[in-house]
Amino acid sequence: MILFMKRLFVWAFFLIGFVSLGYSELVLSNVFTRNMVLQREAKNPVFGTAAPGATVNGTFNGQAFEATAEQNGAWLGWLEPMPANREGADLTVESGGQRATVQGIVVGDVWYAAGDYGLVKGMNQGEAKLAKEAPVPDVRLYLSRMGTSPYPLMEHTTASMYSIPDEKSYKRFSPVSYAFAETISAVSEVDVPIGFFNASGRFGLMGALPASAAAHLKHPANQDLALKMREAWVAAPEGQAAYAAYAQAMRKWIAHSRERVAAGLQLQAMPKPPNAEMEFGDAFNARVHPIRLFPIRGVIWYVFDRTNYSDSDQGIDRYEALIKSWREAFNNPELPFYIVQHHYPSGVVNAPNPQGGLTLMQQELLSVPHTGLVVTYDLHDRKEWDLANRYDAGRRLALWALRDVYGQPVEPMGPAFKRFTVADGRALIEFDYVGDALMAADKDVFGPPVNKGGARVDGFMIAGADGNWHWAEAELAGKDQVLVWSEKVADPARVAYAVNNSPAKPNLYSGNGLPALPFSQGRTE
Amino acid sequence: MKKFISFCIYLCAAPALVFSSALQTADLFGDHAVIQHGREVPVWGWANPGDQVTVAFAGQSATATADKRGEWEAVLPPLEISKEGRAMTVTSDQGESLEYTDVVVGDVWIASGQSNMGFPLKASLDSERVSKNPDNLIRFFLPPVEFQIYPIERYSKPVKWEPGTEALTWKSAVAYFFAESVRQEVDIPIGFYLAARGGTMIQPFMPMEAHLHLADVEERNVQNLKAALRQRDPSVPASRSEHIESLDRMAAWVDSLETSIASQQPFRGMPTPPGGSGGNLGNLSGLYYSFFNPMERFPIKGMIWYQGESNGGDHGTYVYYQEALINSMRSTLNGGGDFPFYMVQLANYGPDKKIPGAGDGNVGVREAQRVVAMSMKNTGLAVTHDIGNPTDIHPKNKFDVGRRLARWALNRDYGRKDILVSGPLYERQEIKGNEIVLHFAYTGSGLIAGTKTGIEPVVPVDGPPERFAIAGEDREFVWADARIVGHTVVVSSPEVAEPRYVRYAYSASPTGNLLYNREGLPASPFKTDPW
Repeated sequence: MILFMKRLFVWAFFLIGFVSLGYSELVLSNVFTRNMVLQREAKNPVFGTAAPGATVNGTFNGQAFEATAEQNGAWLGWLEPMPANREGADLTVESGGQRATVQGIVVGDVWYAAGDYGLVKGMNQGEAKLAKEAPVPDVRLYLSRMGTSPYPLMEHTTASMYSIPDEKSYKRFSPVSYAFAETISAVSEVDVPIGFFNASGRFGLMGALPASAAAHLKHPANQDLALKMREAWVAAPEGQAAYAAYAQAMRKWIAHSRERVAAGLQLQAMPKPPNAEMEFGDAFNARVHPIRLFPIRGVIWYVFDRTNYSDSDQGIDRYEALIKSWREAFNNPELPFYIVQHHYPSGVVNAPNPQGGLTLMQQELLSVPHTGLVVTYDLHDRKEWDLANRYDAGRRLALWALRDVYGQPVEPMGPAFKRFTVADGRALIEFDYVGDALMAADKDVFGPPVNKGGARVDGFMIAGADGNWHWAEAELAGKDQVLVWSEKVADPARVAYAVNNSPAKPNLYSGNGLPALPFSQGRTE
Repeated sequence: MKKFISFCIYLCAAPALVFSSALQTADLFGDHAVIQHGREVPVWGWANPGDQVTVAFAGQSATATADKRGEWEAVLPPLEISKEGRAMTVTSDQGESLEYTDVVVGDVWIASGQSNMGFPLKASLDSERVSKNPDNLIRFFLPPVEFQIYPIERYSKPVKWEPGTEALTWKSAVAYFFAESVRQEVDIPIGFYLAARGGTMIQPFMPMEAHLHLADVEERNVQNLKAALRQRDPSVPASRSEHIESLDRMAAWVDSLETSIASQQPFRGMPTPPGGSGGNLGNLSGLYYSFFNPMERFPIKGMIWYQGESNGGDHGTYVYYQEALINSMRSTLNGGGDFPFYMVQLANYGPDKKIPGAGDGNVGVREAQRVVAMSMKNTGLAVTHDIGNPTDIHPKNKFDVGRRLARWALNRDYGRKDILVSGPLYERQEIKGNEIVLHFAYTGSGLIAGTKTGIEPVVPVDGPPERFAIAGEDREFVWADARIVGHTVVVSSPEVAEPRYVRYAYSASPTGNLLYNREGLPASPFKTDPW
């Protein structure tokens, strides 16, 4: 009960705080908060609200800027590109004798960490052990409250803070973000403060899809959703009409409420805005949209999607719409988007049934420019949705950033299917991204893959023309090929790898220690 | 476009705004509806003010005139049980008419609570058997799951009755197994009004009256509630001026909204509406408003309830909340007075620390639920601490949960007096020297120690029941020796010369040989001490 009352008080506190914001006071958006990281070598926005028409003057690190509040009170100024700077500086804005200051703002590289609770949940023992092996990086994670909104908001629903790990507190930090920052910081050219905006918690694909994604949904099974989105998208004709109707209904409700107040009667239900049920975009609207003007470096995505798609094309369509609409929102058509791949949360599967649906579907996103994908089937305990080892997922995400964003000569991906031919009734699979050479390695969830020199490869399945799958024997055959066969299949028609939790763990790695990508493929013509 | 129009209708659904002129009924009346038998049935809806509306169903009819707000209510006399789906027609003297098909007459139960009540059949043990034989006479009505900050008359979006043949595997497993168990004995259609929301404390389910009934519990809290109620009551002069100021701010916000819409700019967040927002006041009764306000008139048989995980910390006070909820719902809902209210006791969850009488985890809520079931009329309790999962707050065995709940209904409401309602529920203790004798209700044909796995029946074991702890006035609980003597359990310990109190299975996840009756129903955890 005491807890409940406490919650009430906390709420009351925020509400009172909110109400007291008049529409004429100078406010620096609550996104600007102590220990924030701004993006180096790019223009950074500074924004807030003030009386309509008011002039706002700001300074940061020797730079000055000016902005004018629009009719709805919003003002926006820009800081010119700056080099990285670990020394915290003050950001100050002034208008009509009012003044607001935020201290300790540094300049470095800013990423967006989008994920469900598994992204931010503190490190487990194994992860903490991995973290301890490296120095604590200069990384700051924006801890946003779990706001949601049916429509895009100008700022976060409540002020947040940055969490900075140190020798003692690092275990409480998000292992994915921490490992990403640690891996990047280990490269000397990239040794700058790393900041993360963050939209984690109750967060999934639907919550991340803004209404503007309507423009990108092509699949027939997504058209109902697209229509609903257009009704909640202020830039669409349907949205214009729906919001205008909502504003009008609100006016009527206010007028009606005034009558009831005069008569001493309790008020009645308020009209609802489009997307009141927040079927989509609620997290985007409250958590992502308010910071869309920041020139972030890219997005890392750690979400275990539990949607039942009608087919994988429907899912791909949604993910592509997600990536496109976020790129539009951040006004960067090449915004890097790196995805932690699904695995299979079921226990060990004894029958050779492919379960690759979402996993393989996400792989198709690699054909979208500036995306990356991190394979995870060797990082989980085959029971839980969350990965057991999120630390290595973070490290693998960093490889994509190192290659694509920071220009480092790394291979970000493990062996990927290239060609399937048949010789003597056996399938011969050729791979790209093999490093020096393919290896069959043992890997404990937290350890590195260990090549004991064996040739036997696990995790393959094979099917003949009848489509019946069988567990397959497999063997390394040279630098970039694997031979796959089963005595039950005379003429192989399909081969699959790591598309379920096979009794023997899939163990095909590149020479760089990265796992092979799951696949299910027919013969190459 | 059609969708858009219906969307606009609901957008404007605030009661004072004029409804579209078409004849309408509340959503509870529609195709595949289940109507409560044996009770007068108010059928209500909307038409143009002054229109005369006639409802005809099951050979009965009733007529009403729409009032100046356009609302009408016609009352059908009590109806006989009918498995045959028949048509309900609603006609107005303006020539408008509605026809609903496949309407049956049986019992309507509310199934309410948290995620374990919402837990779908699909994910439950024994669901495959069910999905092969869907039962068309088990039907569900699922109102929108949302918080409202003011009472509502109509749902925020259209809702339909769904027959058992439709998407059954997504419906509540507890409710389904309850109904299945009832229907194996009594051939009656059963409709569920599923009002469940995951991760929610009991408070938002309670009508405002219930919060006020709590006056004796926590004076400070009630003062806050009363202040909150005053704050939202415009007849109080101070609140009136606050309401007006708040409406002014909202009007300014709508101005900025319209500017933003025109310029396609992001919106400011809405200011706090008069009297508070969903964040504070809505939490008091926010789910009552959304789930129950729109159906208060709809006749029901009773309610099954599975809630408490989110109140896991309210050890001392949950009992008062549960009582207040039951009392107030019995007065606000149309269940004919003290309608049956059957609770699921929280399942075992969390590690078994094996500390005598530990009192950890959710056991405090379990105790509150036992106390309510033992003290309030027409209530019952399905004990489940033997069928949960220490590592999953959403245990998969909903089969036994539903069946154990159904025993109460079968015995109390469906005339099957031969069915035992429950496992042993502690009644009183007798201190006899260095022993304490424990007396129970519902010992059935005798007490046993047993174990249970999955949905298999309980297996009796040799040896005494475990998990009894005993203490003297020093409150130091130690494990007790327990033995079954007739329909009692006698406990003692050589370490406690003058025993005063007993705790049984009083921890997060009690394991071991537990106390059952021979019918295979578990004893509820309990404590006899006042701490």
